Amino acid sequence: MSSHGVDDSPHYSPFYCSNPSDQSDEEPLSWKISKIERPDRLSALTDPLVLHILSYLRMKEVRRTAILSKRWRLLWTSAHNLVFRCTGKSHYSVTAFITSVDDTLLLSKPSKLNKFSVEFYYDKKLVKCVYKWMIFVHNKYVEELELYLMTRGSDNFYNLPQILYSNACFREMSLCNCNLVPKEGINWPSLKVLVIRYAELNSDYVDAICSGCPSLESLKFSMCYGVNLFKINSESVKKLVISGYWQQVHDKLDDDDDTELYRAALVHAKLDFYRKTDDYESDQSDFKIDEDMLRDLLELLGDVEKLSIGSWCLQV
Amino acid sequence: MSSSTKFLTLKTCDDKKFVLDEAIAVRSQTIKNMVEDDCVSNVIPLPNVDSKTMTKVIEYWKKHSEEGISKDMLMDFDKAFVKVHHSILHALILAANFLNDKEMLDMMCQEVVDRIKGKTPEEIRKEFDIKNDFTPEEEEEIRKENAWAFE
Repeated sequence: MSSHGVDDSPHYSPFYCSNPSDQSDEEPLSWKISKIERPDRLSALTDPLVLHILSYLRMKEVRRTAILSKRWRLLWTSAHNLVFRCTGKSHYSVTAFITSVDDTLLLSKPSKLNKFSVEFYYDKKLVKCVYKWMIFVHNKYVEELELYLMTRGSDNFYNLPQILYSNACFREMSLCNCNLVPKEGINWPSLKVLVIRYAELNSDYVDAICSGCPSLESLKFSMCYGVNLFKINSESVKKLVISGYWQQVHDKLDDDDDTELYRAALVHAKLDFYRKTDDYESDQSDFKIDEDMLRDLLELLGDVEKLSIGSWCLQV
Repeated sequence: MSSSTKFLTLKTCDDKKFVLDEAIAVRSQTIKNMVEDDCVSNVIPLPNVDSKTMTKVIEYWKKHSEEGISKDMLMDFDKAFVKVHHSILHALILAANFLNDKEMLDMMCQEVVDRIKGKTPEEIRKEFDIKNDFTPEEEEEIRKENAWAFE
């Protein structure tokens, strides 16, 4: 009885299939909880199920499970979602954080990962550390990349390295304080969701995104600058959100000064559904603001060549 | 409508039979595949699920198939549904996994996650009856290896 869970050999059984060596077979899911014998059922789950549970946790909590028992000792090395967070700003906490990420990546076993996500206070002195992680992202066929770099000022932006601009694995990408600077275009054929917050853009890069991501369904630019004219030339994008920048558009339009500089246009855009942010969904008064915004937006879209609009938009 | 309702009979590992509307039973991808592949004769055997667990699963399926039920009501139901001893959670995870009901599996796993989050290893062991089989020296070593995680 006590032998269950001590079995260190990985169960590469299909996702649902009772493993013959599984302890649950000898004691078929009894609901009686014996007062003397308290079987550790969580540890008795197959590796894929335990790893599924761990996939909801951040790496810090995942690694903490190593100490639970021998069964858990090295389970974290098989985790498929590597999510790292560090809110500390001090040199000490950032350094310790980087060491722990490096250490985890070094011991990470899967040849393919679902997700790699980091959030920490970035400084351009750390460019090499992040670069190493990006090579890891490339080598491990990561599908979901989140790079949330907190910085002070735009001179600390991180430039996504060239090695990542041609990648068939990416399905979702979310960047913050991270610039896209492709030298030879972008090729992300599987990418469905792209979120870019706080970045310097230019129209060539926006074009590269549109032409290099044929599966892109959701595109969001938030607080980005550097583009005079947003040309979103994509047949696949269903949801387009440009926030922060749009706000400037409206402010500036009132002043009637830099309209040309801030003028934005959508070309070949399909607006099946449009809303500014998720927060506005439920609130009626904000809904009105949304409507007004959309009306303004539609007026701005005078030179759109092809525009199909969803039913919600048609109400405006 | 009722004349066209098809019923399936599910047989659990302890030989109990459950008669269930097919429209509800196909929440299980495993059963759905069997129905679509036409390999359903009279009784669908569920060798990995016992009757007590199946009763809970069916309770969940029926509630989630109720017409006109509000989101709030479902949320309250789910909240109460997962408040069970970890041995029952375990049985439901195995059942949801075998039946291939992703929604239910994710909900049960999320509950396990909620019980792990923010707890010390000692508290997690207590919550799930995990037996610490390390010597104090081994434990100290692991703490050092994962020092950052314990800060």
